[in-house]
Amino acid sequence: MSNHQIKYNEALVERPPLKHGKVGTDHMEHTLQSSNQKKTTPNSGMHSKTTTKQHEAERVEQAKATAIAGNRPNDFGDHAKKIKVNLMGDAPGLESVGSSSKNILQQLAAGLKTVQSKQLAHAAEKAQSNFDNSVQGKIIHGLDNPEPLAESVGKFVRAMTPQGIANSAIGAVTGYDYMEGTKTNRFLAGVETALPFSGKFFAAGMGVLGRSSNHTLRTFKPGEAAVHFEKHADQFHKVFGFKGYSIEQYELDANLVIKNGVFSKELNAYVSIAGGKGGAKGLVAGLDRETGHITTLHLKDINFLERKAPSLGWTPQAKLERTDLVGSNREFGYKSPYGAP
Amino acid sequence: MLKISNINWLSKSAKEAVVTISDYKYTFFTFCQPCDYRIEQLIDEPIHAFITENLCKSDTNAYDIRETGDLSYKCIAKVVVQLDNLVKIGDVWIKLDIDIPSWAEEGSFIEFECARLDLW
Repeated sequence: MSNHQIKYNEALVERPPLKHGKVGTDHMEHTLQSSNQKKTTPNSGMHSKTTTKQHEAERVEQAKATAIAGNRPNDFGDHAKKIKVNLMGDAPGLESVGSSSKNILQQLAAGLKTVQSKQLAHAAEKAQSNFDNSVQGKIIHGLDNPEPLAESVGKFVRAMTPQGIANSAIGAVTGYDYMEGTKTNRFLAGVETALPFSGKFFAAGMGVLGRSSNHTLRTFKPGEAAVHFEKHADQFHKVFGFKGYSIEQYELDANLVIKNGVFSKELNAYVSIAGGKGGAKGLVAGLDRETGHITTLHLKDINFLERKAPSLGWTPQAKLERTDLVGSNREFGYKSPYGAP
Repeated sequence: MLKISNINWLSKSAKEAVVTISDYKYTFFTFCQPCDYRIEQLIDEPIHAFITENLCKSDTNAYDIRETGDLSYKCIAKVVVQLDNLVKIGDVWIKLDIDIPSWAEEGSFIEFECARLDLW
């Protein structure tokens, strides 16, 4: 097994699979129990000395319990019906509320097709920043999840769906903004009475969560992988020195760049810095916004990225700094700009 | 004058294409992404040699370009501006992604291989 493959496997192992069951199922109930146990702990002696900090902590605990309870399937069904009123497009999944949460999530995903991504993206961007700073954001990040839920959703949708939908789905998590308070159903009640966009964020986010279990790795459109591989494999071989580089590894590489890379709007692709032989290079992985398929994976010169994707802010750096123009030994006449020997 | 004679799309959604450019004597298949060019469009900037290697002095003083694989080439070119790593084959200017050594004087011929010729 090559070093490259080993790195790959490690990277894939690092990413725990998303489980939509964590919304409104065992995980939530388990966490709810933990939360309730904490609440029954004798604490009244301290109550008279409540400081702002303690109050805040208590409020977080309550909101956490509220969030968890608010996502239980039975409550979800009742409120989801009302949310439909606020959805601008059709969300056919809501017709079947009352069945399992899994079904609801799956069918909400179907409703995503009606989402107007441009509007959602704009509103969701704003909502996302609010969410990250909110009490609820801290709760989500603190849930007993190997990877914080909000971050998982964000990463997943960023990689899997058109950007507009992705933004809206991340914004869906901002539905948790409405769960602040003491009443158990405040979260969903807040969503149903909120702006129409909020309802849609919610549907989008839940839909994406519902779909997440069915997708692990992205692929090229049927037949396209071979075409791109044929064009670019030679470059990978030269830069990375791979022997026996395969289409499967090529697709895995693309997934890795999409997972860990930075999105460049100028290139409509995810980009990351590649190692290997020669000057600095970027790996560019394209994604079809409509289908979620990989469109390309290839190497680009860092100078190209500086010129064509200025939003990345990447500029070529000199590897060596010339310090001595007289010495006969070239190695002694240069030093690394990074301080390395 | 360098002109685009054909565009072969690899992925339209990624705007990725193999663009054929020609100065009427030499023809190159260049890689372009994102490609916003159109057929018959004139090119007024150098193309870019990507992953250049095996650069050495040429035994002959004649331009040459040969395909060594899919998109990869072996070229014999004249050094135009050594400090800017610019060479030319016919009327086609190529910017290398490695430094041209100082022994390669401007006007002399060098030989090199590249994994791809890019049109930016």
